Amino acid sequence: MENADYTVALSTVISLAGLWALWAFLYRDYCVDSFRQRMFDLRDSLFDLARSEENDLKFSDPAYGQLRSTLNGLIRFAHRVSWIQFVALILATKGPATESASYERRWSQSLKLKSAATQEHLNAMRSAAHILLLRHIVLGSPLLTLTILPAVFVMYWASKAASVLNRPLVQIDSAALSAGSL
Amino acid sequence: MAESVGVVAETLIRWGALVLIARYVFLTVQSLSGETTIADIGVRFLANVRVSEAVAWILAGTSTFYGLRQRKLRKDTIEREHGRVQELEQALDPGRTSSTLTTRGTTRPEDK
Repeated sequence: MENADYTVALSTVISLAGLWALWAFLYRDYCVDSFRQRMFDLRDSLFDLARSEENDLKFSDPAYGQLRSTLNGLIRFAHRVSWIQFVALILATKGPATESASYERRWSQSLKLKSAATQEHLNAMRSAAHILLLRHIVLGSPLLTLTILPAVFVMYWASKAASVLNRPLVQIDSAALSAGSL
Repeated sequence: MAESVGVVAETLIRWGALVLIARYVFLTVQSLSGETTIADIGVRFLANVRVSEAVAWILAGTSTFYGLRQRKLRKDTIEREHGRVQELEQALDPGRTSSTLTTRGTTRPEDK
């Protein structure tokens, strides 16, 4: 091997080792910390909702307790969530959904006694937690980040473009209808 | 079961990549066997490093160091504020539940 080839090979291998360390330890830890920070923000919003006197949610309500405990659990075990486990969970829970049905039943009963506005707030917070969880799963894997994020980016701008184009298209439809009815 | 499968698969991917890199190191060194000494390797490597590559290495190293220091600063801040937030929230909600992370916002050793 020539001197230059050797230097390039060794330099590349050292760089690969550095990239591996960055991915295996630092990036993974950052993803977990970032997810936890966003979940803490969501939990703080839930706390402020219960503290506020503008709605009927109280700290002693089962709905508050269930959602807060759920958020606590997601924060506590954020380091164990990954796309591999998510896929394994999907495959493992293909049968009758007893555990998830039990959670939903308990959630519905907790919400029953609350006003429509409070129910909407709490359901929105639960949805926000799910979105953060999916974001954590995707960003925690460089492979998913490189494949799914571009698709999400394209879909987002396509929906934006569709909403911008909708009004002129409706106007054209209206003019066409008038012309077609003559 | 799903969690166990996930942990095993993740461990395999993480450490399998390192094994692959180690193999490349071995192959690189093996190609030089019988032709050179460790001293030669060191001298040749240093003699062939270009200024631009050296600057890139310095940038990568200092950026990593900066990130690690910022992370430490963030955890120090969490540790400083943690008790106060907990006390104030418990004054409003005596039944306040916790995520049970450490006071520095990290995973508890028993949960790893």
